Amino acid sequence: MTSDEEIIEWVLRGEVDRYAELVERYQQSMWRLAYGMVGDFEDAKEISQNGFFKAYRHLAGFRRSARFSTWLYRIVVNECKDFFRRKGRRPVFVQLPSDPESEEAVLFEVADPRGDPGDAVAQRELAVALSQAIEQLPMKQRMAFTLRHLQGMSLEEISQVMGCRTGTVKAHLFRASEHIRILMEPFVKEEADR
Amino acid sequence: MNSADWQRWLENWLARHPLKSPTRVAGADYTRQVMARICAPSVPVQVEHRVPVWTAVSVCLGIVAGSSILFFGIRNPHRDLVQQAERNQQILLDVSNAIERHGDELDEALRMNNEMLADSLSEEASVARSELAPGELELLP
Repeated sequence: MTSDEEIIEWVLRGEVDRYAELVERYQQSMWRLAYGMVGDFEDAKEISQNGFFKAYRHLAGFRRSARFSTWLYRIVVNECKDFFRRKGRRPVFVQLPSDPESEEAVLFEVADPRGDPGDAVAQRELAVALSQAIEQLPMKQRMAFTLRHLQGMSLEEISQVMGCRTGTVKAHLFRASEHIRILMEPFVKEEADR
Repeated sequence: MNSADWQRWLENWLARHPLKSPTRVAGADYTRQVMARICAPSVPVQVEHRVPVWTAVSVCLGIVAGSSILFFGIRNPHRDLVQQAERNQQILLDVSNAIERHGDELDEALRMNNEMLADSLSEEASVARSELAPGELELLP
């Protein structure tokens, strides 16, 4: 597989069409990241596409010391921040439908192929509660939580994407986790009792 | 539930219930849409002209040299002028202080000199008068 750096070299030499390979390679990750942040597929699509567009426009300024994916994540994260700013100070922009039965009400896949099908309703309740708890997090905590738990990034990678120290990332993650734990406690207890 | 148990539960739950995938929504035209924006004639890639290291070093050295010339060529004459003015000011201050310190003494000395001069003049006049013979008229100047 052609490396990111090679593709970037080709694009900078004028073979613009080869940028499509980078878009294909990272579109799922970027779209999912934005979805984890904003909770809407269409908004997430637009945000991540803006990220690709901006990355292309500033490709010549990309420093090869960092990974292209990390740089791209950072651009998309900044696009999410801009999205939040346009909608209001806190990321309470996600309008999860009031109907909990709605397919759009949860950020997560509810059907667990390994689980008991009879348990699906309970799992859906947990999924809705967790989605709403994440939705209530302040922006930076939500960002750190999304990158860590929904994107599976390391603390080091998150610190590069968020532009802060790993200690700060840890603090954001701890606060986010505690915040969600308090909100989720009744649901988790209920699940444990069953 | 303590923090460690909670972390374990959360990671376990998220492993079984991942984030929804965007492929659920029609995303086939994703790349095409991005490339359409990129390939629009009005959107060229921003080319950053990278300056070679030797050019950057030459420019830096030039700037340093120019600054040095300006610093030593223009700033020093001003500094000489300032030093000259400071010296002059110091001399004036010294004179002024000396006058303040010795002013009273000078006045006293001057007054005594005047008195002595007056005394000696009057003595000479009386000696001259005594040397005149009786009956001679004193010539008035």
